[in-house]
Amino acid sequence: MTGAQALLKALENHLVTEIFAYPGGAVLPIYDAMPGSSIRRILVRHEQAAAFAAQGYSRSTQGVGVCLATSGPGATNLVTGIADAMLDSIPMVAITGNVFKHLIGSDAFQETDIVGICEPIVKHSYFIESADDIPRVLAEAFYLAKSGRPGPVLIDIPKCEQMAEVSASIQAKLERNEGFDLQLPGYKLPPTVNETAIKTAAQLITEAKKPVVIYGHGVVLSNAEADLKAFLEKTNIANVWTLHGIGGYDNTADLSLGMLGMHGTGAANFAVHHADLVLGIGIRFDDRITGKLEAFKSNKKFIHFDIDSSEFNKNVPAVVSLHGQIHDTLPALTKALKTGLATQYQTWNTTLISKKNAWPLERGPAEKLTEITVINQLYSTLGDDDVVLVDVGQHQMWAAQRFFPKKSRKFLTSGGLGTMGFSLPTAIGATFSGHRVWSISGDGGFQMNSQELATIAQDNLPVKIIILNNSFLGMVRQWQELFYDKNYVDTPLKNPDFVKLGDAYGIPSFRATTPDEAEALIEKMKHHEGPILAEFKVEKEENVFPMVPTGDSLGNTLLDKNHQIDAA
Amino acid sequence: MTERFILIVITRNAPGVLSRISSLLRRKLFNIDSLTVGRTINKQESRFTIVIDGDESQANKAALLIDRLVEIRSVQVLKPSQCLRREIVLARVKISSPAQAELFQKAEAAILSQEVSKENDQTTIELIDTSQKLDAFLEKLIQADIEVLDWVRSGIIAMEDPN
Repeated sequence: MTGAQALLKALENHLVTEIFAYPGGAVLPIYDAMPGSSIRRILVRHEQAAAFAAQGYSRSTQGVGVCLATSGPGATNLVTGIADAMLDSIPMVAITGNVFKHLIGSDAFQETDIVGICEPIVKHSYFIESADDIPRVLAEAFYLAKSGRPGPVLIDIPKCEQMAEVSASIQAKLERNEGFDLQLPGYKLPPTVNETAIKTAAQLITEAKKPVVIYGHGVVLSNAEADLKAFLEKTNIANVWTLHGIGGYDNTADLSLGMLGMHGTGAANFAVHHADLVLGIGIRFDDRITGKLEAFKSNKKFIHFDIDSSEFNKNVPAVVSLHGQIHDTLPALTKALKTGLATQYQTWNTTLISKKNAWPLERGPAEKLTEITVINQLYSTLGDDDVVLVDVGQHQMWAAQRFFPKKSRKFLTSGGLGTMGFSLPTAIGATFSGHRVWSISGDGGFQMNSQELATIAQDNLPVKIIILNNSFLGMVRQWQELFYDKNYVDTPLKNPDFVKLGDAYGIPSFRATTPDEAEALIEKMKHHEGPILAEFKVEKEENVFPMVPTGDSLGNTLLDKNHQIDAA
Repeated sequence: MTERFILIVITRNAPGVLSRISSLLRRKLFNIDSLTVGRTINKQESRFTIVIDGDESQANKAALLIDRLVEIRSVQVLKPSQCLRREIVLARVKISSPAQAELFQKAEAAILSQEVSKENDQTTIELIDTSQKLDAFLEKLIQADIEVLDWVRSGIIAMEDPN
């Protein structure tokens, strides 16, 4: 058994059923062994798409997606997808080939130091010195990717170790599907619940008059949705969420005020700005949610739940830091609290609900086709299990403000890195969740990975592709309009005919230009088997509101061009 | 206020750990004043002594970030006053006059030192002390116009002072 065969066997033993991959010289031994493996290959058309498709698998299931690329340019093409996974704490295993060991360091053809390049953007990385290490390293990689704070793990395998024979004992262990002992002596899992911290947190909650919960991705990654529900329902504390918190709790409940931050709702931003106690649950107080940090921090106390202790006091000082899995810490806090807090928060909560009612999100003009129209139409037709992937920019924010899925892992997007071109390749991976998959992109982002139409067509992957075409890089244009005197430099786009493009790949493709056409087209897409593409020609110069201009306080959230929340 | 903190980091003795730690400190914009690494009595482990400039919260932040790396076993943050600290210097000097020789001997006497080689007018000595004392020694040589031909410092090693 060669190292390449051992790799595939080990992947099978980890129940990997598909990998997202692209062949090349330094992974040929692995490709040569593939026909003997049960693993299905998804042949992407650019390695970046392999990394995103692997993420899409991880994000939409609870598994760990795997991607594979050759050395040099193949490996460097993975980098954006790996960085994106790191910033969003997405488990993933990325495997690269590299040149023969005796050529490493000689600037050999297609040699790059991918371990070095990826060092700041992986949870951990390996360079395989010996074929015998492959099964153990793979076991460690899956464990590291998924446990604690999840993240991407890179395994770089020189070609000689793919070709080398593994020892008989390793082969026997693989064939018997025996576990390999992990050698991770320094790796620490989060601690158990600190009862003193729980007591202090309970005390703060009991004393608060204007509390608010901000929850985020950590709730989803920790599978703590039911624990959050129990906590919110017992305490009656109002809640807001981050981009990755969407679906972590009932987004339509009375005290669910909306997404927080730069494009958060007026009520959500108002609540956090005026709160006296903020509970940050599985969030990292990113600059896109805090706005001006001094204003965000002032006159309030923080209780911070996180699995990663380096997040504590990074951006805001917490009076109590609850280190651990949220599914451990949050129930402990719920248990420590008495009932009947609702009365205590009644005045505050009444104010918040009145703000929520006073400041609804705009619906867009009924007679014109806008991105908001399409997003609202799509939202109303979605099934509970449908997975929606949005790209980056205006449509991402409009959708994030309006999508309230009944479950988590249904609204997937690139949050931390904000990668244009995310949606289409990530949707490829999400089709393996078995659910209906919708990929939404703008005309700009779509063209960053439009080559993946070929992957989708070749494997007949059922992605419902929506292109919201406003002929602009909309979000950048919005900033140019608002802060650079409409100096639209390089934001207007001359686009291809997207319908012809989809047709060229053999994907049924359609166009809508009016609200009625759009509604009919979405209905058609919903019931279509297999891939389908739709271009929606939408109004060109719409702006996303509410908005907090960069560096400004949440208290100065603009509800529209002329109205700020604290003046409203 | 900028102070100095000493991080004592125990890691797996594995390839790439030094690079992971140093690049982490670089990309988070910490200032490394000194970094030394060597094996512990356990051959599987390495021990880093890292001196960084910054306040206590920055030092603690650096420690948390380093501790997050998979191969790290433990991180300890100490103030210099809580540590026994030593640095080693090899210095090669050229003594040109009896007056210089006298001043040199006087400087040597104030510090733990040992002559390691001598050829004609060139003397190489080894010095072991705290960084401050080594700085003071160098200052004395400069004042005596003694030519320093080569000067190499090891960086600081430190261990918690039980007192």
